[in-house]
Amino acid sequence: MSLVVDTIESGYDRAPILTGVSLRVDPGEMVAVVGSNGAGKSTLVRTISGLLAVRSGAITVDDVAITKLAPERRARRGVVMVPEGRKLFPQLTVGENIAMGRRAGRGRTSGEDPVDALLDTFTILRERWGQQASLLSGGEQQMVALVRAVAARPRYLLLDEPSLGLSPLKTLEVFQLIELVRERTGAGILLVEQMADQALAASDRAYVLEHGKVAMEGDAATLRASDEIRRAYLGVA
Amino acid sequence: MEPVIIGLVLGGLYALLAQSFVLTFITTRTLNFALGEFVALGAFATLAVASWGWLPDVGKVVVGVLVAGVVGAFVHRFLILPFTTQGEHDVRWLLSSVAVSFVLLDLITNVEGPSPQRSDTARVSGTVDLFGTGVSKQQLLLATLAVVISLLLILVTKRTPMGLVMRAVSQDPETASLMGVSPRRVGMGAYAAAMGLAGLAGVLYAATVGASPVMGEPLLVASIAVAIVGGLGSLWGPLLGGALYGVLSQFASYQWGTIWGETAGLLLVIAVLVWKPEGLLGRRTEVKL
Amino acid sequence: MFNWSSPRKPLLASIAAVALLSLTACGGSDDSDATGKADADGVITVKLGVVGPKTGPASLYYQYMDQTFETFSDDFEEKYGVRFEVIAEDDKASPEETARAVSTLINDEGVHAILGPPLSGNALQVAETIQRSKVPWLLAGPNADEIINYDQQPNWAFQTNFTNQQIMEVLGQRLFANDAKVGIVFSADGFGQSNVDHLKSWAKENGHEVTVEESIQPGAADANAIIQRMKSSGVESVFMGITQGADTATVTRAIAQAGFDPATIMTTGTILTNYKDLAEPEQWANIQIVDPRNFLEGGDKEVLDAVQEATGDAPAIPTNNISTYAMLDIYAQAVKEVGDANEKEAVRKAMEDIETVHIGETLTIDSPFAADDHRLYTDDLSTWFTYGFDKDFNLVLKGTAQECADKGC
Repeated sequence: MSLVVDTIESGYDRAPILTGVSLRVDPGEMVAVVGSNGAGKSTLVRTISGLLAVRSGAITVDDVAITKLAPERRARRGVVMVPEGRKLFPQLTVGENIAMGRRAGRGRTSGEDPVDALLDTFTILRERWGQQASLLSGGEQQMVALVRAVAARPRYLLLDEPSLGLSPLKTLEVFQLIELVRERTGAGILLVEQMADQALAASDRAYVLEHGKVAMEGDAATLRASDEIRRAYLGVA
Repeated sequence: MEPVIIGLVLGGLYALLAQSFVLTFITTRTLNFALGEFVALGAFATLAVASWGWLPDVGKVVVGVLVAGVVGAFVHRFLILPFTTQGEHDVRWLLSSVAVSFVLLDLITNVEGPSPQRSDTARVSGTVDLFGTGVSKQQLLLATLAVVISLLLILVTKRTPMGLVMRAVSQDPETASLMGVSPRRVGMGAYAAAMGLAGLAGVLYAATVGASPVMGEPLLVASIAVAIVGGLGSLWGPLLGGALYGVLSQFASYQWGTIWGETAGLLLVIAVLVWKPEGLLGRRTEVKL
Repeated sequence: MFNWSSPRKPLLASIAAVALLSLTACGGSDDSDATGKADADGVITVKLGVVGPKTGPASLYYQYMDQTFETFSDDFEEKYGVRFEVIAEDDKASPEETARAVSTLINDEGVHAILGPPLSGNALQVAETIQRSKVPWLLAGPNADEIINYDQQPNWAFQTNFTNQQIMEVLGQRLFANDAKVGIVFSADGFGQSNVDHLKSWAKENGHEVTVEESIQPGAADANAIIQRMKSSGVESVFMGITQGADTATVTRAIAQAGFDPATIMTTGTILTNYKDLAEPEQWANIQIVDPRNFLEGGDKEVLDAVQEATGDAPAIPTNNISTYAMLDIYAQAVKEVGDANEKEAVRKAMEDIETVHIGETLTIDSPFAADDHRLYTDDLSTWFTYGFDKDFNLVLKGTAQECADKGC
């Protein structure tokens, strides 16, 4: 039972960006993908969510192939993505954005609603409920995007650069929320992050992506401690 | 006063068709240039069942609406959608929709012949006095329907889950697909609704001018103009656009002769395109990262 | 310097050359029986080029020619020993296509004569070409006088419909009777434009003025503004010079809607096509038409009845069904007299000198043509008829145009 990416190749137009990437995310596990700009991190999550077509290789969710499914059908199977830049529906209210998230989770609504728990913790969203999404601050938008994804009852959650454009303080808050999401939903989380240090600190395992290939993988804490990683991604000489 | 009344009433017909353009535009960013033929299709579908005595007029109108709607959904799926796959700048749908227009026109002409045929379904003859102006009841019916349907559409999009999905797809189809919504289905649905509307306009218009393959063509320019003036992104747009275009073109026709009527309407379009390209009620799409 | 060959694009040039060759090959088919001369049975088969809108919204204007051939071909063969081999070209009612069609018929097909195009605007477009090509031109449809320029002699065009100058001569007196204010609504095409031009020139010559002139676009959604302008200008006589009956219906609907009640509403025989189904009896109650043909009895009616019987359809454009009959009668007689359709100048001369034109079994018109007059009808009011309509849109004869001009109708 896990999300398995098996030697996939994908990219835009004729140029392949990912060449033979494999990885695995287990339920309840947080897995980081780090790498420099252009390594193919965003391409990876967009391919898993179905926004980009797979050219070869396979993607399975709990042993069922989703390689050829349209994004909406993957979402309905619990593979939920929070896109880079949040991508809230700008003219919908916070509440409507979250209601849109619930559409993907229809039919998988057993158990208590994880959204309520999140809203109870981050009460600011309740206050903003009727406001148009485009009027929120960047941090608030990222929270709404996360809650919207949770409303979709994810089994596997793909987070594309959740800290992008946020202040360090807000980034911290967002990482708290992500931890809470994992606790409440038990979803496996694939976290793609520029901020490698924080990502590795929060994750169980990690993959290092270089030029569209997995260069390293392993225990997040071990990777975080390795000299190579510290030099290349954590800005330590 | 007369040009105002007549203009408002006539604007209703254009508004109804402009609403079709708006519906497909907000959901799929495409326009169906075969709209005129869907007007004819609706009219002929109703005409085909006109002799079924057991079916009340409303039922016959529904047949026209359904046929146009179903064909519209198919056209979207097979002739529009495949030509929009190359991103925002892919405008091949423009050519394919024009091709649909020619093909449908030929098909309808081959089956029904070129001559206008009388259509009595949903026909209300006679005129009614409106503030001292004689207005044809049929045109008044069309205008009233345009207003009622526009208000209904606005209500549906504001208040129902289906409307929420429509608005979401309209703002960001890709992200909507991440929410388990199929933008293609929504597009198909929008085409069905929009062409159904065109069919409805066709049935009611045919009761006045007769059903003929080319009946929708002369309405096309005015309807696009109305949609642009009001704003292709706004469901209120067609009402405002229809009113402005109708009154202005009638006023110019009364003052300077009919050849100035259409010209004045099109000048209005150019003015709007210059000063507010998104239309009077349209919203400029902002991308905030 | 211009260089006609295109050395830099040899492939394109050769494709073009092949295409051209294959086109010529298709066009110049010689397996036709239409030699233009008498065969063993004494029958002359004529290669007749027919131009008209076979497809598209105006296709009724092709259909009437088709109907007339279908109904009367055998009769003409029997009567004059002339068989028509029709080579039809679709002009799609557009000037460009008309020019192409005519050039194909003359240059590639080498036809003996050309029938059509039926619409005035398109006929004007090709008038020069056909006159230059020296091919008898059979104009059974168009009404515009401008198509024939009599300064060019010998002239190759013949018109068997009435002309707009003639109908205005006939109508002028009616419309301007008692110094009435006259308004014209005309379709925005060659026919409509010719109508308004001739009405204005008649008015000018006779010391009158047209008060309102308004054009209507084919398929226009309404004509309210047109009628309001007439109403507010105090127009008392309305003339509708409109090509399609459907647009006439739009105008009469607006007249009813505006409560406009002019003393006289006149129009042409085009109202007989497509109007009735789209209008209500009260809208046609006051309309009258004038036409040189007697639709109710005699040869004209025989032609219409025969078409109805042979084709099972109503005559597509009744006026033009009749004028096509007359035209074929004239041309067949001329070919018979000359004995060879290839002798085009002799055939042309024989047409010009024709003694008796037959329409149906019983109607004849004697010596209609002269070198500077290739029009079948005249503007003599006593030879024109005025009709109104009953509530079922049946024609009701009101009298000759002369009678109606004298005492009103």
